[in-house]
Amino acid sequence: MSLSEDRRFGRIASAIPQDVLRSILVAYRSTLGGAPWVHCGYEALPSIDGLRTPVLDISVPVDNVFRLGPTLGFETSPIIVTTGLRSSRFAAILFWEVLHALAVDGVWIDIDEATRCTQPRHGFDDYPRREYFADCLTITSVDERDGVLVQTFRKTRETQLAPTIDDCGWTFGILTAGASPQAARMAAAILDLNLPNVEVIFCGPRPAGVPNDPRVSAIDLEEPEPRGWITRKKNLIAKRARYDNLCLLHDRYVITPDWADALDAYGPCYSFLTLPQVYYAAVDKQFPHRYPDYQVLDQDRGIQGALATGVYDADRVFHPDYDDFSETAFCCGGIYLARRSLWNLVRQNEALFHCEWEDISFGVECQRRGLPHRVNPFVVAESTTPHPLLLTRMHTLSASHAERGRLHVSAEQEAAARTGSATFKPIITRNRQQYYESIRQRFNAIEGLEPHERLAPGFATSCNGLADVWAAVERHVSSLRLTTRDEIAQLAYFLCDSVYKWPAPQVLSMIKRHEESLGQSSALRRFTTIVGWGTGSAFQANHRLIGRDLAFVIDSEPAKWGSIIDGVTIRPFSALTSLDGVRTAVVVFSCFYDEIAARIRAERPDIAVVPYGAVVASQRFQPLVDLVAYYAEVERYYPRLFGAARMELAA
Amino acid sequence: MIPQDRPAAAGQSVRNRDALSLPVVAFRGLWDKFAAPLTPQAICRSYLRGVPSLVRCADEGEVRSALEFLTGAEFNRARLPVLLVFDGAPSIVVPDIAATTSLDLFAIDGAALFDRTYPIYRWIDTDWCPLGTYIPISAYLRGLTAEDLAVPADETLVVMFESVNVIDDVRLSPPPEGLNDDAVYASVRSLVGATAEVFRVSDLVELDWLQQRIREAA
Repeated sequence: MSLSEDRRFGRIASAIPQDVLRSILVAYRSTLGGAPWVHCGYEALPSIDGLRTPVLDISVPVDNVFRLGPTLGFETSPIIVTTGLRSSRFAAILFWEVLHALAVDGVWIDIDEATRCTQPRHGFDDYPRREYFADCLTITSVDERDGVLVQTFRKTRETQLAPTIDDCGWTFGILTAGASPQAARMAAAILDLNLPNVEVIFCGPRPAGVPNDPRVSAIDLEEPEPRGWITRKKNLIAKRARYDNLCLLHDRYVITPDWADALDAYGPCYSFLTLPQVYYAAVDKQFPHRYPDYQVLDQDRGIQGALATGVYDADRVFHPDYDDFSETAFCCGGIYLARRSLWNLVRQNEALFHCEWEDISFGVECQRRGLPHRVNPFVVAESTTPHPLLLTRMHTLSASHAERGRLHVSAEQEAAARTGSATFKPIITRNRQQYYESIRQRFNAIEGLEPHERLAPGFATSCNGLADVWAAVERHVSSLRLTTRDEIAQLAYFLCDSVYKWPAPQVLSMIKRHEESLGQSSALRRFTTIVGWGTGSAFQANHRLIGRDLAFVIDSEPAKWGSIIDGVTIRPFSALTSLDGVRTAVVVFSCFYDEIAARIRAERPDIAVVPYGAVVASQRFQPLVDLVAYYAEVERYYPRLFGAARMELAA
Repeated sequence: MIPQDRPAAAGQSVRNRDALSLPVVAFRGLWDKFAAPLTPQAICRSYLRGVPSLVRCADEGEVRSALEFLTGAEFNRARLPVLLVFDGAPSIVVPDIAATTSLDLFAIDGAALFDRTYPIYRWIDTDWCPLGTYIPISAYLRGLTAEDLAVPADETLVVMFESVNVIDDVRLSPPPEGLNDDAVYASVRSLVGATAEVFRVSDLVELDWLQQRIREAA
């Protein structure tokens, strides 16, 4: 018997020949005869005459929730033999569990393929040499036989978790900002949990309505920090916490009585955990959507550089299955279950603020030191608010297959949205008018806007959703003459304040791409005279969006010559005669571009001819274009976009 | 000297490094929504994230103020050098630096025309000593020769060149084909030889990092 795992995890069996394994075990016969020993490994143990058989040969399936504590207890086993652990993607978990099953002064005989021991992934040290392990393990011998490495360790002292392993108390740390009515409800629910000892620490403003209970306290930063200094807040709570079991969470969760059972069920031996999290799109817990809870940075190379700079490629961040694991997996910052003693060994990097991938940095740093990030699957936590950008799609990673932008909305939800057969929650808690007005006010607060560049009070008169109002904003932005990086940055900041706080590198990427786009478009830049062609709907909808004033616009209809349309004079083709061809470009506002371009080139080959679409496209701020498309998709599946207006509530 | 933001791979020739992998200096601090470019907040954020930044100072008072922020551990835990930029010779703007300042101090005399290079000095003991050249992007576009070096090539210890990305106005001439930081670096390196430390001055450091991460992970 031996460890096993689901085939979908793709474990490649280790190449430890049975005869080599036999000879190793024979060599350790006297050690293994000295005390009861446990085998935890993927290799089937050969039967050897005269060799004491293991008192326990662990033969359970391995996944994210694999634990030895319920079977072996904590630091009780005098000898543990492990075989082929590094063949598993769960190796970090297996090593963690074995370390904590091994008794102080115990012997650990680790047998594995030599290449896997010397070529660990991600640039991390081999597992027993990681900081947490090295603190209590001393290597006593290394032997290589036919490509198989045998390392023997002695556990010279207890793990850093040991002194507090029996602490059953829980400190719940809730981060607040503003009024946080949900935080007050959370505190009341926490105090009612069936846990032996509990305290609640708010870090931030103490919400109104919090029970007057000596188990509840509040701390805060010395000064307000607009960036959202959640790393410091969490570190402060961890420093202040009375109990060694920490639950650090943001103020948007529903705490239910079964949380206590889940926390108890996992057991005391863990480093960092999170809970599966959902947002329900409709009342009565209908249409659950996964909320970013447990993620993985799907890359083998470049981890050290990412950790050093705190910058990550978001396109490589996926949501794995909850029973899966990677050494670059991390608990998202919404909920941490952590041992205080271990949190304070690592601590979150206080040079990083909210939406600076501080959770990825923390997770990878923990894993690098030998402290895995895992999932407590025994309860699902409900988030009262959805992630603003993941209402329809998210990157997912099954054991074998990565899918970016997977549509995660169920057919049932789509049907209910269409038929009105469910009571959906609003995506935006504010009512429509409040939301539209907040957009207008924030846009008009952009530094340096001229009065005519502001959004007018009636800019959204004809809108009633999200896609249409953001399309109105996008059209307005396209008409602005943005020329400097700082101007484009102000636009990006408006989006960050109104929609989602993107990390700075992504904001800079938006800015740079738009600079390049504007630079290309001005292809028109080298021309001193720009002339339009066509006065139909394409002209009327787009001539203001090309970023240049037109000298005049050409139309083939003689009756229109001399008249003015949208402030531009209409003239005949012959008006091109007097223009310097080298410094003139004609922008064609018509679907008959090819015919018109051919006619111009036949008579004035020196004049550049450009379709309006090419010029207009490059004026558009792509993040806004993408946002409109996103909300158009959202509206298919979420029929209720806004909270109720006051009048509706009063009715 | 100024710590590099990424160690060179074993055996990697200095000449073979691409510009993105060079040690970086922030042009206007690490600016973002909360810290406008050139502000103390952006400068401090840069140092907090482990990137030295140009610090433009008009007079001795501003230098003192900058050093107050940057000599403490709050923002400059890594004790990165401070890179002052003056509109004149540092020996005139700040002839003396308090002895309590233990950080490496560099000063750039930015008084020359916009398309000229600027000398770089380092405060050593009691004086500002010239040791290199700062190369604005406009100087590169004008065309660099050995005469543009503020210090002869064989005495040059430090060169800083501006990334193409410091151009922040779309109304300026679009970069010519083939103008990129690798081309600028190659030109600079050919002038100063293999031993000078070359630094890239960038206005988009965090985007640089993102591009490096994408490249390294691939």
